[in-house]
Amino acid sequence: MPRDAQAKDAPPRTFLIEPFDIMLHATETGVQALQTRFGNWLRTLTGPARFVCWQIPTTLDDKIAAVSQTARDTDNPQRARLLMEYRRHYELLQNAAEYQRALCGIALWSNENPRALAAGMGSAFDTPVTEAAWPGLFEGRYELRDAPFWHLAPVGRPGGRSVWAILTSYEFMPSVWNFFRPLASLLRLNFPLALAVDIPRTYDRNEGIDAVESIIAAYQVHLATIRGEDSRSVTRVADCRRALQEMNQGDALHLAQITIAVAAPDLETLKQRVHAVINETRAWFLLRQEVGELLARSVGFFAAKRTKEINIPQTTWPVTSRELALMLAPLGYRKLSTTDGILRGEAVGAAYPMFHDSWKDKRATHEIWVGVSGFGKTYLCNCYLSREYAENGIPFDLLEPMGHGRHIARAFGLPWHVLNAKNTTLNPLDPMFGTLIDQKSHSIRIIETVLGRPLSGGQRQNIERGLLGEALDILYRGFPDLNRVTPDLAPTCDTACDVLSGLGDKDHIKMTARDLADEIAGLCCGSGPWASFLNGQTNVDLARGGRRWIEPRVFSFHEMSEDPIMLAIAYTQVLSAIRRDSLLDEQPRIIAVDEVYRLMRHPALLDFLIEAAKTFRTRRKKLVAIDQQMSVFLEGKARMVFENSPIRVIFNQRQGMNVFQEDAAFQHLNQQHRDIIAALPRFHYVLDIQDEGLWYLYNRSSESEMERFRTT
Amino acid sequence: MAAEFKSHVLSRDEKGLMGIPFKRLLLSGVGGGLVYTLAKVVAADWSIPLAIAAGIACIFLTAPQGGIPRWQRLQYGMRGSLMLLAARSPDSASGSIARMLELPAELVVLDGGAIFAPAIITTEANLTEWVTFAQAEESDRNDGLVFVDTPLEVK
Repeated sequence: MPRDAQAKDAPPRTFLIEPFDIMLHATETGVQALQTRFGNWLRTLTGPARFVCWQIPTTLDDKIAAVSQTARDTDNPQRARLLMEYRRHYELLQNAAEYQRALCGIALWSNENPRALAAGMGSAFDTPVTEAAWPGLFEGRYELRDAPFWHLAPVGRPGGRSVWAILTSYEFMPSVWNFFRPLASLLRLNFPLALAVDIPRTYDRNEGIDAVESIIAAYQVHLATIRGEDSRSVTRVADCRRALQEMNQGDALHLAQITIAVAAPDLETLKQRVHAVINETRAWFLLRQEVGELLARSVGFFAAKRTKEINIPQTTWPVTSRELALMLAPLGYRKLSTTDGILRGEAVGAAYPMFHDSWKDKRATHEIWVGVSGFGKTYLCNCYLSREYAENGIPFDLLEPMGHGRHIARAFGLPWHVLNAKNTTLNPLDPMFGTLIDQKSHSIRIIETVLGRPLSGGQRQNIERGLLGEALDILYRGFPDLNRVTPDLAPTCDTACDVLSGLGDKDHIKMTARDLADEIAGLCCGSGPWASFLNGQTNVDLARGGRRWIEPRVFSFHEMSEDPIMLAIAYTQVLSAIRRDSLLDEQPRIIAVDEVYRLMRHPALLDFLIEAAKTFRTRRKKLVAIDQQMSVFLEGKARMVFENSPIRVIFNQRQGMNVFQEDAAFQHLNQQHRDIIAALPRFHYVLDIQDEGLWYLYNRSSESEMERFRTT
Repeated sequence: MAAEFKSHVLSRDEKGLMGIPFKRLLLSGVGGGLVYTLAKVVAADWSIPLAIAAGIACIFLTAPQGGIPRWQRLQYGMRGSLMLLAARSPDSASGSIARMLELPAELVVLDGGAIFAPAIITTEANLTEWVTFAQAEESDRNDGLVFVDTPLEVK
């Protein structure tokens, strides 16, 4: 039974396909793999199919207007100034480029489940495919006109609507096609056009082979009888044999035809554009400009209408699956898609700005950034935080161990919190949790860190834990609402030791309480090694203090001594304060932690990070965890953070490529992606957004960002 | 990787004469012969010139233009012009001819909304056909949420 008969009465299913970036496959083996994947999918076609790509020139006007409007609306002069700088940046980008917006779709006439079809295409093209209606080629009513040449003109007042001409392929030249020519160069023409690759028929394998073999047989008879040379027939026989060879290797034989709709604001421009398209493609395929009835009918190629119903003379060309795969090249040319969101970089190669709005719904928005030192992570982080703050008004907390936080603090006029052993006091008894039980657990955990031993696991340790808990209970009992306790009211270590030393109803318990109090006091009070750091009122701005909105904060740990306990306590207290504030409201906020490995070394902090990744999502907080190696996030419990972070920014990873090959989380990356990641130049990165796509970007920052953050 | 496109592997295009493929020469020969035979009956003296003219006309009209024979392209152009004339003045002679030839007049004006309508229209649920109950016992009291077609009048 012929393949087409199965799909004779099948309904049309239309799909929209998210174009991907062919620069992520731009190696010899990369494009070969792509062609093989596309070809393998085309081999499975059982009924008619149609691929369409719509291309519309676009601008950053919407973005510029939105930024200007926000600048007018904000009452924060600093934000307004930043916004005007970004506006200038977008204007410069726009002046230097001609942007286009592209949309791709496929129509299949099939009785199969559309979701299954979409999933199959998604896997074959490695890009999101959704069942959706196609956009119209034009809006409103159009009429046929024959003067000065055949075209479609809007009926009534044009209202900005274009005139259209349609070109249809009728002959394919014996030339070499690849993913870059001829269709990619056609799409670089900066005017609105739509391209349809119609595949009205895919031959059953045996049927196709029989058809080609019969042509060979006929030519052989002709060549045997002819006198002299007939090079065309000889070439045709050779081509037929090549087609047979490809079909015997598994390719299918398809009938394909390309239709191009060209738009212009006026007839003179339309004529020029039609000639430009014909000339651009002349070396690969010939186009005829449709006239009369054919022009009206050929509009149907841009809708889900069967080729038979369109009913124009057949000028399809037989192509094998590997050839047809190259006609899907527009899929690899992602253009400017949306201007909603924050500028995440400029696409390498195509040079369009990539915007992404990670706040549009309540999905996890956490990010993991990895890359070896000196490749631009910190610089991009500063730029990103600056853009989110300026454009969306989203504040941030930046925790970093290198001291570069001063740049962003200076840019925003923020206090720069540098934690150090000499001048900083972080009271471990500051309330960080709203409930007494959580607060006691937190304080006990810090004291355990100070003591360097757990207060559990043995009889004495359990007694000590109970006594410490009782002391804390006494200290916190006087506060009706722990969230409202300011640093000046919070109990200090020496008070806790005093209370602790007086506890116990039996002698040996009293002795244990006193011993524990002495032990804690010896370390945290008086002239103990951490007395100045822990015993006293916290002098870093960590208190909520009834504030409705907390301005961006920058915490630098570069002056902290390498004492792991002090570092752990510092991180714990800062992160606990951030966690407490983050869970109190649903205001979007970014918590960026640079060199996150320093936290992960401490099991308690790792637990905190895991909990933060899970709970922050529900409170519209974004955690940005930054480190040098991806492997840090894939080992042990740290993997929980990784799995809760759907956005990954990958800078050069030449030292740790093994995880991208071995770990199941990176199975969506192919060898070309890995090669690119291994060789990413400075300021270049791969942005991998789960279920949305993969982008190869360059951090093209604004002049003001460069001025501000270049020393990072 | 790339692919070198092949010539049309499903059609025959044997060499003919003076750049004209054999199949077109064959058609013009057959056409000329047919005209010669018919003309021999009607006007014997003119049969040879008519046959030659018919042969030349066959060659000319079957020449491919944009992948389709010239006669077909001319035909589509003329049909289109007739359609336009008929649409502009339906009562004229061209309008009558267009009606007689049953030309698709609907192609003169294209409605984007109709042509590019979604392929499969999903039927939206009519909420007025449903009564929604938050609790099972509400069904005993007919106390469900009902969507109405028009706003209720306030008395």
